[in-house]
Amino acid sequence: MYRNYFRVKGLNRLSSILTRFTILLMVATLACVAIDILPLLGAMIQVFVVLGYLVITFCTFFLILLNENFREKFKELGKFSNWSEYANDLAIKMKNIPFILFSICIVLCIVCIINYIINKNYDRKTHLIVVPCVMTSLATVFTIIHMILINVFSY
Amino acid sequence: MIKICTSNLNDEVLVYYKDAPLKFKKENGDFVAEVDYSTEIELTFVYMHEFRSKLWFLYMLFFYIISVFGLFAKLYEKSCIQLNTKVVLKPNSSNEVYNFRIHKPKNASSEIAVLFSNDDHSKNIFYDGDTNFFVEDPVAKKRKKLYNLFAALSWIAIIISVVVIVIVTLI
Repeated sequence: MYRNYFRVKGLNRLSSILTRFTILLMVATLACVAIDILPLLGAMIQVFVVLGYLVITFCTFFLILLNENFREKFKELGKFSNWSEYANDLAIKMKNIPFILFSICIVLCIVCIINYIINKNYDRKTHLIVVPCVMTSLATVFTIIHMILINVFSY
Repeated sequence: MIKICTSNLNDEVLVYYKDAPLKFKKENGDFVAEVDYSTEIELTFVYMHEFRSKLWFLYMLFFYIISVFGLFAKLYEKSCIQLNTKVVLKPNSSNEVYNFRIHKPKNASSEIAVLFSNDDHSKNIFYDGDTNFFVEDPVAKKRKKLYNLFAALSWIAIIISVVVIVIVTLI
């Protein structure tokens, strides 16, 4: 019985690590796509893209750092109790993030490919296309492993 | 089918029925598990620190490495406590619903850990009064200290290695 207990705990830990890896990969992918696309956009849109990217990066690190100990500390502060409950909900929802990322991965891949087809004359951009594609593929593999862990084995 | 429900499912505490963990599904905001009707349903509530396993060092080392020196892993529980208690339900009919709550304190406590809140079923619920609370786990506590020491030493080693590599590269 206890062996089974630690197997469940181990799988939960593994899937949480995969989630964090996937999120980080996606942020890196977004950065590459943004760098690749930025020169083609107008000045105002460039600002929005950079701001959007900063928000996503902040949220990512917020999610990566989000764990029981952080939540406990916020609970101790008392006045942040509502925030803590919100963070708790987010942590539960975090289990679904790879499913959302899976869709984003596909969209990003399409964006990369279209961008490559349009700008294939620019040699400078070629390597920037490869990086997001490789990272998106990695994120997709992690997502699939995560989905298997959650749906087949996990508690 | 007998329904076992809770509103605060703590995924660290596993509920066992017939030596297999119960699978809870979310229904209308509550977590619900179904078990086959029988005159006596024995549920075991288990919580142990992850360092309590036999192969704890390999377990820790494996996750420490794949999570890039613990950066991407959630932290291990600070409190080294354990719970292993049994609750026996004796339903009268096959469509009864039982609600329970798990109270997990930060440290070992004499507060009741598992409590079923159905007033109408109260006569059909039997607790093991001697084990229904979280107790301190000295073995896990000792191992946690070893892990902290290991993590601290490895991080010191990593920082020294990085500094050395940077200096060598610059020279």
